[in-house]
Amino acid sequence: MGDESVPYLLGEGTTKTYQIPISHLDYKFIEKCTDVKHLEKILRVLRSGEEGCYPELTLACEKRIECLDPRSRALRKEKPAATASDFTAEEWEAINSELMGWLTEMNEDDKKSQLLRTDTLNERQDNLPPIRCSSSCLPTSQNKKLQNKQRSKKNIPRDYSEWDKFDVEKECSKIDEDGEESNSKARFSSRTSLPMIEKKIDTTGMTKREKIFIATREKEKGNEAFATGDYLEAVTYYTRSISVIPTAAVYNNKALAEIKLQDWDNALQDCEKVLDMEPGNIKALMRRATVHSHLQNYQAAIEDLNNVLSVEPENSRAKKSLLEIEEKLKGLKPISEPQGKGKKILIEEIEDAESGEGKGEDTEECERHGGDTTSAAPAAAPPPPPPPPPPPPPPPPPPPPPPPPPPP
Amino acid sequence: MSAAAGLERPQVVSHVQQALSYTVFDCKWVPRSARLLCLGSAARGTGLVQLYELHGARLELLREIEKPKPIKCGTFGATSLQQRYLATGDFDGNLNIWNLEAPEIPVYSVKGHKEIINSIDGVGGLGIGEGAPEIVTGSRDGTVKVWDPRQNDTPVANMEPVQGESKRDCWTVAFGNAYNQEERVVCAGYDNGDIKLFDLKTMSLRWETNIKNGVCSVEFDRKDINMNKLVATSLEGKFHVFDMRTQHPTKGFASVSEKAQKSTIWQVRHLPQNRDIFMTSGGSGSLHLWKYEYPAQRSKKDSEGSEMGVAGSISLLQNVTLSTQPISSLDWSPDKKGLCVCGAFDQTVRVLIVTKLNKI
Repeated sequence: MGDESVPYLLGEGTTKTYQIPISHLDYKFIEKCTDVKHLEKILRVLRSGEEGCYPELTLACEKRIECLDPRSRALRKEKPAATASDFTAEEWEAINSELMGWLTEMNEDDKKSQLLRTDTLNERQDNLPPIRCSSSCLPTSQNKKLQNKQRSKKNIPRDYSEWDKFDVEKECSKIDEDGEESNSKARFSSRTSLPMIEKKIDTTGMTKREKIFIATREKEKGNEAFATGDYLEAVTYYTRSISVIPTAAVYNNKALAEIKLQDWDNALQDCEKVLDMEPGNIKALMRRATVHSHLQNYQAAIEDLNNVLSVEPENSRAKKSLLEIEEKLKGLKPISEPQGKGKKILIEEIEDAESGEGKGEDTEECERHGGDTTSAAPAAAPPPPPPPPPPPPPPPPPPPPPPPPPPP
Repeated sequence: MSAAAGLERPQVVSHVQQALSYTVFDCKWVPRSARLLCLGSAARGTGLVQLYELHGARLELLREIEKPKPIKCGTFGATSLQQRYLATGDFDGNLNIWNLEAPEIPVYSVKGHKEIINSIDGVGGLGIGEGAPEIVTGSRDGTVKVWDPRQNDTPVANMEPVQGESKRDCWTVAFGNAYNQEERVVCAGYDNGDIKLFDLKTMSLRWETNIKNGVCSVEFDRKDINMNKLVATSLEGKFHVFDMRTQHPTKGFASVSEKAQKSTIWQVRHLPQNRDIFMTSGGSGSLHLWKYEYPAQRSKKDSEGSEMGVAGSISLLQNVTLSTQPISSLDWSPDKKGLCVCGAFDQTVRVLIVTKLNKI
């Protein structure tokens, strides 16, 4: 094999696959090359070993590709699952002990649940909605089978067989003619009106564990909706979580979502609720300060901010907000104060929702980016800031932190 | 340099491996517990359900239940958190619901299909999904049926091909959009690449598309919210993520696709605690962990002023190769973030821990 390959290497040969000139399989070339696709081809050739085995060169090529395009598919390698040797001793210990802790907890939970059982269950069964019948919202009847067949609304395919007769062109033109199709209704309803989500959850017959599970799940759903900018949805999920188990963390998150929606009254109420449960909760104080500021209760805002600073004297956001408010009070406060601009800055400085799981970081950064970064979730859509700068020069917007590191 | 950055990514740690003496088709965590179930087919052609409990670094077999027909799939989706009844579909087309404490006689049983039930899903139980608990089954006989455990013998909805039309194997089904008592959709994927979205409230077809390769697995990111994202995996290593929030009258839903590997992607499962992270399992014995990132604007207007969705982007967080055989089933624990179980055709079930999911 060596002998045959020598002629290739000596002349201006090219590789067998992709016909890459041999001179490209070289450190200097790779370092200068900026064409990711070409580098990927080179990498493939190197990995295949058909031109020889050059592990260092392969590594250099991988590094270069990673530098240019960390998401390149060529960088994906097969590797086995991680084991203890891939972690430091502390990390491994942490992983293990976390799991063991959870296992013990599950064991105990299980033993407890063996005891509580079935009475509560029957209660729940009675509360379930009726069995589905083929058309919506009809008085119940025991004879579901017959109803399925008899009830027929015009033009609604009731079973799969009708789907194959479903003619897309015809339907589209029917829609144009203002067809009453529930198809179009279904589509439009999802677009124009918000989904009707129940604000309260029926918790009859649920054990405490179940309630915790459901409240946590609703909170997670709220956090997810918040992260994609669906603040109304977020508020709904937080409300549902609160209806099962009211907690300070969820009220706090709800307050923040309401601030984004500029629903000052509700936000205030929710901040108050948090402070009832946990007086001195920093986030709640900060948020209440924001609300007061927007409602122009500057004294109250200053008081809250001072409270924060007495506990956390180094809190830079609190300091900044305090400065802004003091400047507002000092300078003229025209009624047409571009609240938008002020709002925008304050919103950027608010700490994000408590997810309890560190999800917050992303949201915060995306606030500051205002949605420029492609990898961040979209920022809220506050009203566009009005153009003229206000007489007291606004403090410069905080410098954007470095974007989150792209996944390698 | 890249190694250091690599350690910040989630790692997939192999915690326990258990060799089995039968082919495992599905594995599921028992909710609110550290127990898991393996469902499959024994060599002599009977069905097996094995219940294991995780004790430290090993799995202890608690119970083994044998049934006449091999079992293909199971779900806890339609049961309450207290009852935890398992619904299974078997090779003969039977849908059964079992009380694992008394598994001799099923709580509910129906010969739902003429051929193997390939896929099953449940909603309305476990505190997930508003409305009545329901089970959907998809079968090789081409039909997709929705069942309510309170109604015997007949499904509450049936989607079947018309007489004379060739039937297509339905390989996968999933519930979604169950955010209030009335709304619910079923998504079904077929062997010819069809994906159909059936709206149970209006009993109509809401959308269909074809992704050119047989659809192995579909899943909504969360069943109990206004439908947000749908992932569909297929043969030839490709999967598609559809943004389900905006439906265009002709173009349907926006999507982005990714090629994970050369072989079939058998399963997709979203992390129950974070709807934007999901794992795909492949025919080459590998698992890929992905994250979806939303675009700056999720919808925009087209030239005629109708809203159309904008798909985001997918990035690979981690990948591991566990086996040479396909990993046919995968399940995240609903109770412990990052804990998952997977079953492969090398007759092994593995419990894995995915670390650092909090940092994403």
